[in-house]
Amino acid sequence: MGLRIQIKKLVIYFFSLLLLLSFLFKNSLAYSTQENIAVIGHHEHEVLTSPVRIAIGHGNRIYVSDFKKKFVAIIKITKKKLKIIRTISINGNPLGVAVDRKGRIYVGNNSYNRIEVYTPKGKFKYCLEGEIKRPNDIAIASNGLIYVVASDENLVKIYNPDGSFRSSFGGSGKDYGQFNFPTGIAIDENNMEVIVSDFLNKRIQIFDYEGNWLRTIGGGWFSSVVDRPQGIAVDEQGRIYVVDPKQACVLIFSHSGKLITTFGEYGEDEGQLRIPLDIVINKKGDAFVTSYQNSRIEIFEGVVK
Amino acid sequence: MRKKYIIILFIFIIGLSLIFIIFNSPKTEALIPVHQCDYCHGMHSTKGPKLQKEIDAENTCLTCHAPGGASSLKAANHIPDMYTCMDCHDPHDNVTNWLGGTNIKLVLDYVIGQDGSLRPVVFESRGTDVGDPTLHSFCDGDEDGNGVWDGVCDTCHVNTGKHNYPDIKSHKHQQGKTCTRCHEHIDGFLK
Repeated sequence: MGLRIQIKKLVIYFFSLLLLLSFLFKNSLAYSTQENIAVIGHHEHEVLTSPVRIAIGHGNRIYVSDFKKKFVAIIKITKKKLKIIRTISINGNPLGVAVDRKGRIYVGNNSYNRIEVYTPKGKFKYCLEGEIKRPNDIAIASNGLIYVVASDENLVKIYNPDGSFRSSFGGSGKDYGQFNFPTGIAIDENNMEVIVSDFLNKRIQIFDYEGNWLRTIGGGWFSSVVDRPQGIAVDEQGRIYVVDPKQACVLIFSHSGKLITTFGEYGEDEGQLRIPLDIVINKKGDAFVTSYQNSRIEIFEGVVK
Repeated sequence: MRKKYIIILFIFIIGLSLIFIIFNSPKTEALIPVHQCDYCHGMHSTKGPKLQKEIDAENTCLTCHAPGGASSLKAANHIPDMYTCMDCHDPHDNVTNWLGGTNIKLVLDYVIGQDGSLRPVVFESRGTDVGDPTLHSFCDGDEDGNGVWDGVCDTCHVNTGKHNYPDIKSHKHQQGKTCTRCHEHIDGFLK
């Protein structure tokens, strides 16, 4: 009789422990709402219908690819207002967009699997060497190297400043350094690192400039703090901003990978996001987030104090 | 005392086995990996109806099917604000569908037609422009002769300028072709 009671107790303890463990793992995915986030507002752009990738250039300009309207919009930021000053028509659906130091605009053409290079005034110049299947995002390092995410190839391809192919890294798989549909990419200039979203592996992977794996954020055994990572940005303090359309928010990680805070929530109102896909941070620390389903760019002022 | 340790060890092993079975069960791989129950539904603190994690199902679909996601081809629904993904697709599969039955591409077996009635859909082929199987594609023009216009586009487009079924002659616009060759899903089929 006594033994049966002991067994019952043990079973209760065991399942209580399991319950506690599952609760702890679940909490790692929960939203955190920190008071130090200042959500100031947004500016709605009726001109944009399906903003996807976003890049920042000199002179307070941001560059946004509109997938359905098939153009890249060059937008000037003036006193918290956004004004489209030029659009570059793309023969196909644009995805990734980036700007180099000379103001040249790099656009990933999803329909023709290539990266097209345009002058600052929007005149087509040339394409980067070779086919790039699903050119999802582009980042340019200060040394001029161009990093392109080829999502359908599970690779990040590196190009020389003249557009010639240099090397690639990644490959399909779950191991460190491999990808299962990479999406966004960003360069951390201060730490000379390349940061890549690994969409279906639910993690962020960090490499050096040559593509050697350094470390990973998220992608745990049970659950990951990152659910469906898309666009990435890095601020001057080395903090990593990850857009997660599944959680409808932006997660901010420290350089070492610790979750600092999140901002944004699901919805159609100011400060809310529906299918956010990419982010850039300006020198003031303001975040510009493309909200695909809301057809606009959301501005979050001074997201981290 | 020894008996006690054996029992504890036994329970521990059973527990570990349970965890392993739960997280590695082949049943959870029934559909494509991301279409498992827990991708859309949760048991606690859910925001939407029917234990959905998101407020609307469309948001869940678009996390992968928007541009830049793992499948970007379906990034717009037909006539925004009028129809949603779920009006034409069933993410739960309709069993026969995924296992080689009637409808491919998670298309519903029945959709609500323009007259409000439930209309059957048979979608076995995406169609082609080079003459290979077109039976039961987007617009099959009653190819199987059962008197029901049940192509996935036919089902609703019963009384339009180019597809007017009482008048068979008018139903000649690109018949048997892949509608999405011109009317792409990404544009909500509207262009």
